[in-house]
Formats: sequence, structure tokens, C-alpha cells
Amino acid sequence: MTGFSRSVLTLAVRLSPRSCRSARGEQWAADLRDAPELGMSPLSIAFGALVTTFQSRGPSTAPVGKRSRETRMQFTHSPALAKLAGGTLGLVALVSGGVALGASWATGQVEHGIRMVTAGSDGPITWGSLDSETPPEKVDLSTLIIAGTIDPATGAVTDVTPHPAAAAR
Amino acid sequence: MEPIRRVTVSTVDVLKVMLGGSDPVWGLLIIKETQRPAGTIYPILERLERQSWITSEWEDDPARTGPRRRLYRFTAEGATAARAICASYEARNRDSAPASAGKLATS
Repeated sequence: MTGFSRSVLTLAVRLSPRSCRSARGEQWAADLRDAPELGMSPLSIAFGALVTTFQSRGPSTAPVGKRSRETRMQFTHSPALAKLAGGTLGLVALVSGGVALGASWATGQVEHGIRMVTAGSDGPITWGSLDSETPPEKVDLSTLIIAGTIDPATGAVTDVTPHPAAAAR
Repeated sequence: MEPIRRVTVSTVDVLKVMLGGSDPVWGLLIIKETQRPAGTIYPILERLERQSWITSEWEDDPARTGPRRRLYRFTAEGATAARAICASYEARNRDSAPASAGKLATS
């Protein structure tokens, strides 16, 4: 039995669940000792033990059968843990709901404020931003008359004949 | 005894080796006979024992000092179920094996 194999085996045993540490330790030590007798490498046994330990500890190893039931029972029989988990979830839900309601209320207030800025004035309702220092200029499109067009390339102004309805005003 | 949810080829190999004799089988000998890594065989043995397919006991050999060997044997139900699984596995392998080359007799 090489020292390295023994070290790996010791690590595998120490990482094993406490309930099976003793049995695994003795079984694997016997296998490590007798491996050369069967023409096998002690190191392969030691690494096999380590792999077994990691498999039994890993989260991907789903407990089956009796162990699965035991796991469920352990959780069910832990009221303090269940209460703590439930309380935490409830608090998170309450805070999240409060934040959402608050944000919704604030948004409503802002929109209401924007409407209040222009709804009471004469002419059409205009939308503006409350961030701007000056209120937006109001333009009554119903009285707007297009008098001409400007060519952006040349700057030439061309008169446009007003619509008969606009001309009558 | 609980059924095995996932029967792998390695599991079938372990069952075959254990069915090969009537005496309890040493774990290391199963590793040797199956020619599979110890990291594959140890978990299978632990799972089979947890599901009551096999039981294990310490070897009682006063001539041997130091740590004891672990010996495995089937439970009565486990042996029956293991035979059924091995037979089913063999049958499936026969069915899925490619047909042997030969001439088709048409007359």
C-alpha cells in the first residue's frame, strides 16, 4: 500500500457521511491492502473510493427510496425551519408588493400632474415633460395654416395655396 | 425491496457476477470480475444494499489480521429480481443484435 494511495483513501473516508465512515474506512482499507493480491492497483481503489464519496455527497445524487422518504420527513419534522422559510417568503412577497404598489401610485401621480399642467388652459391638451423648466409651447393645429414650403437644400421658399376652408377663416 | 429505477450495463455486470456463485462475494472481487472502475462498482453496491437487493457482512477470518473484507450476498427477493433483469437484458441484446449475413432462400 503506497503512502499516496493511503492518503487518498483517508481523504475519501473523512469526506464520507459520518454514518458510513467507519464501515467504508474498514472495507476500503481491506480492499486497498488486498488489491495487489488480485493484480489490481491500490491507487485505482483509492481513487474509486474518492469518486464514491463525491457521488454520495454531490447534489446531483437524488436520494432514492427509503433515503428519499427520510429526507422529506426530516424537512417536515422541522417546524422551526419551515416557519422561518415561510416567514422569509412572506416578508419578501410583502416588500415586493409594497414596492410595486408604490411605483404604480407614483407613476399615476406623475401622469396626473402632467395632465393638470395643460388641461386647464385654453386650446388643445399638450403633453410635456415635468423636467423641463419652461412649459411646452402650445400649438393649436386646428388654426394652423401652411403658407409655404422651404427647400432645405437651397433655402428657396415656395408659396402654397391655402386650402379653401382655411382661406375662408 | 425497492425496484431499480435505472439499470445500467455496469449494474447488470455486478448482478451477473453475484449470481455466478452461491457464496457471498467480496467487493474487490466484483471489481476485478467486472473489469470496471472501483468508483463505478462501490456506488452500485451501496445502492443495491440500500434498496435491499443485497446484504453485506464482514468476513470472519481469524487468520487475516487488520481491516476486514466486506462480503455481499443477495436477499431472496434480490436474487429473483436480478435473474429477471439479467434475462431481460440478454433478451434485449439478442433482439437488437444485427442479423447474421446469409443468403435469402426464395424457393
